[in-house]
Formats: sequence, C-alpha cells, structure tokens
Amino acid sequence: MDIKWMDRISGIYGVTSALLVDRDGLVIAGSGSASEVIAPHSALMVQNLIDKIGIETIDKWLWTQCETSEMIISIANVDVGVLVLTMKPDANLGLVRMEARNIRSSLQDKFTTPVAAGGEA
Amino acid sequence: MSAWGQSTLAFASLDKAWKAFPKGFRDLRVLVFNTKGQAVLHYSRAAGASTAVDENESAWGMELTRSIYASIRAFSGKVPLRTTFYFEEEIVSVERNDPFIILVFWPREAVKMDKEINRYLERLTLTLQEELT
Repeated sequence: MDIKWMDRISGIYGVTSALLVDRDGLVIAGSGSASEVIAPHSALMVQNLIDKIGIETIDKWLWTQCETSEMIISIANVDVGVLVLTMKPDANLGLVRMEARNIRSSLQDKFTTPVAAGGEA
Repeated sequence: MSAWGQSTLAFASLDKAWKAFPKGFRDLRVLVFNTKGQAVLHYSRAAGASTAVDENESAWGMELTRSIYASIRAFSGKVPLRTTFYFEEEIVSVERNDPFIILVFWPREAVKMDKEINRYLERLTLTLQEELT
C-alpha cells in the first residue's frame, strides 16, 4: 500500500507515530518511530471504540482526541479505516487535524464510486 | 426508578452558567459520573427549556467513556484528562476532574475553535465542582 501520505502526517511536528487500522481491527500500515510498539494496542483500541460508537453512528464520527499528561492520542475516521496518531503534548494539532481531513477526502475520492451525472450526492 | 441523582443546587448553577453562554452554545447536555462510573447528574437544556433525560444517551455516553478510558490506560499507562469526540453534528467532551467525569454535548455549528469549548468546559466544570463536592 502507498503510505506516502502517512509519512507526511507522521512528519508533522510532534507526531511520533501514525497507524492505519481497518474497521475489523487489522493494522494495515504504519509510519513513525513508535508505530511498531503501539500497533497491537491501536488495533484493540480501534475495535473497542467502533463497538461502542456503534455502526449507526460510525459514519458521522470524524475524529477523537485524547489528552493524557504525557501525550495526545488521536483517532481519525478516514472511511477506509481508522488512523491512530500519537503525539507529544506540544504537537501542531491544528495542522494534524487539517492533514487528517485531507487524507479522508482523498481516500474517499480514491475508493468510493463516482456518482453518475445527475445523481444525488 | 431513574439512576440519575438530583441536585437542585447544581441545576440552578448550571442554569446560571447556561444563561451566560452565547446563543449557539445553549443546546446543552451535561452528564456527570463519578470515577466508578456511577451516574451523578444529568442536565439537559435545549431552546430555553429543560428537556427529558435520555437514558439511552446516558448509557451510551458512560459505555463510550469506560471503553476509551480502558483503552487509553492500556495504550499509554495514563488516565485520560480530556477526550473530545467530533461528530458531524455534535462534539462530545469528556473531562476528568476528580471525583467526577463530566460529559458535555455541544452543538457542532456553534464551535468555531477548540479553545471556545475549553473555556466553557472549564466554567461548567468549576460550577459542578463547587456544587457537587
């Protein structure tokens, strides 16, 4: 899988790792120094989160950020899966969120079938 | 019988805090749990009137909080201080402020910047701490 976009997000200031986990909890790709260490935990976390948010609400869920005293953990819905990011507390969160939104849009464009002309969006 | 406790004082103070918020923030729902996950208070105001307690939402909020707390503890070894869920139409803040965990549901269109939420969240948390402890 092409993970250039993951390298781009994990290269933002303060981001220590980025992992893409599918909706079944399978880690698809990872980038960043800590990604191998956090991979098993990320998979479990994503599964639990999806179970609790619920299948009816999942498409309306965009982003979750969780702050502890030592790090920020962000979980972004990118439609084809869930992006788990770990960051230092002083990370450029605004830029990370913007990049996550861009990733979601470009993955939607890439993986969803184009709507026929005149059809409803 | 409802699991939700009643606190007239907390309701009055939340009403006061609610009135001071800008219009867009007034569709407000607040759930308070203790750190054992037991419900302490449910405050709900929309369009200027108290609304019925939605116990399904309360149960969902509590389950979601429990799950994310357990996951983050396993993941980082730390207890989350603040968690924010962004949905298309709503933002849900989960604030740990011992001995309480406070969930606030904000209308998304009212929120332009995160620091607005943090400012109002701090005000609500302070109000609840003063009234419930």
